[in-house]
Amino acid sequence: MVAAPGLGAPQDRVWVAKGKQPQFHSDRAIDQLMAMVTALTAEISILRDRLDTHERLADAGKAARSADVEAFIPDAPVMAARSSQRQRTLRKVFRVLKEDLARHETPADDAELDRLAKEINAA
Amino acid sequence: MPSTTANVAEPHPMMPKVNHDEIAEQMFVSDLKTFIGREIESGQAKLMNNKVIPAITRAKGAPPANHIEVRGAMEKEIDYQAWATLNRTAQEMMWDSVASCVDRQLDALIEKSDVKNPKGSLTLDPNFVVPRYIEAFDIHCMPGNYHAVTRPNDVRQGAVFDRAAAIYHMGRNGGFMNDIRGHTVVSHLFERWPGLSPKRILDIGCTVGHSTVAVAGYFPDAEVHAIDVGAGLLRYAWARAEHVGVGIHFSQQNAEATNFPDNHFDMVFSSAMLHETSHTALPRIMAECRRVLKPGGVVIHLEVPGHYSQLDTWGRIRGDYEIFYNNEPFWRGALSTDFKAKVAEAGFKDVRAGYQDATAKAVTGAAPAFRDKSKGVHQSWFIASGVK
Repeated sequence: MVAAPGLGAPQDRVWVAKGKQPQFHSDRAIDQLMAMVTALTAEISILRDRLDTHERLADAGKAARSADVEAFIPDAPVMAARSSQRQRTLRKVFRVLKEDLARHETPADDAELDRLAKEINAA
Repeated sequence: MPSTTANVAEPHPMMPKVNHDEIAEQMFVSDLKTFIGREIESGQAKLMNNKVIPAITRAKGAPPANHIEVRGAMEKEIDYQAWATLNRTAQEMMWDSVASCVDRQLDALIEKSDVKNPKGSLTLDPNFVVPRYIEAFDIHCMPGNYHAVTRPNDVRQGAVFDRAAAIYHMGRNGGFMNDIRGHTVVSHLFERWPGLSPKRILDIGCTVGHSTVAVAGYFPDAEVHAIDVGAGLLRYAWARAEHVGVGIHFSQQNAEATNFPDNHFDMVFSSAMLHETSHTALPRIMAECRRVLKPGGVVIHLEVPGHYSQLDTWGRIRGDYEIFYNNEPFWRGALSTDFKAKVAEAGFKDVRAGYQDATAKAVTGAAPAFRDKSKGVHQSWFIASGVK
């Protein structure tokens, strides 16, 4: 499905997947916010790769004009190092999701915790 | 082994090129998908088993009746909602990251698709009607699906699909050539029918020819045909094949009713295509495969491994996610289908179904690799095959 069909070039159009619009959270705004946070994380990651290219060019005593950055081809070890960095970034950004999920590793017993708190505080 | 750099820079001449930031963005999407699978999705079964199912059981004094009841409760859980949102977002970002890179170089790609002195051919049908089961949903949430056309001689959807498929499979399906399924089909052929050297081959639902090119490579003297529904997809596929030196005859056709003569092919195959069809189309496609095959010709259908009956509750909920949120309307239907029976019902003999080990190179006389049990996703592919 292509919205805004009046616009000419493909990049000027809004491409939307035909099919039902999903809503996962109680408010679609939360879905939108998560999409935006994830997109921002991508932008940080892209910047980080660019910074890495600058540093590697500088380490090699080379200039880092835009054409030099564009011409830099990362080899396999550089790709692997960047992938590790991305995993770290993803863990930091989505930490709260992982931690909330970790609470389901064992069945929760909130009643027992409440009882214990009461016992501890009992005179 | 080719270096990662070589594959990323120019895996084949039609593959859209990436600039510094585009490859950074696409690798982010690939790593994001890995992260979601390993570190967010992996917790969902525990959420289900340790919280959601016990809560249902307590509330009604009996365990949940089926996965649909559990799914309803899971969808109310914030941790499930977060996973689902992130999963959908990653898929949308994948298409967006590839489409923006394709669109800025579309003119150059179209120019490159103007192949001089081709070995194969491209036949498009301006009156082609896309089947309703493809037309109604943009499959895998790929905007424009397999068939959108934006300009004359368009290759956009093919270019987007090719580059994104490599990211989607995250290197587990033959890197940027994405051809392990094609090699696996031939591996199956060599194992079941070692004496057969097909002279005429047909790939139904070829997309950009990932498997077609691999299969054609084993039979350089064969006449290889491939069909699909999208004009831009097929033009890209044809140019891609020509640029890697393989001549294939691509045509825009519906696999339910093609224009090929009766008794024409020695081998007809499909590669992860049947799950994009429908219960109505499936027997028609099976019958059409038989019609176009010569007596003694073979049909090989490769599909995703894992039958619905073998899935646990989380596996079924995960499958439903594909149906509803990744636009795979036939997912449950296809995974529940007895493909062996469907092939036999179409009149094929000597029908077998099982799991072929995924391979990057088919070898004649290799150790048996067609098994009763799947080794898992990307390790095995389901295959149903038979003889006319």
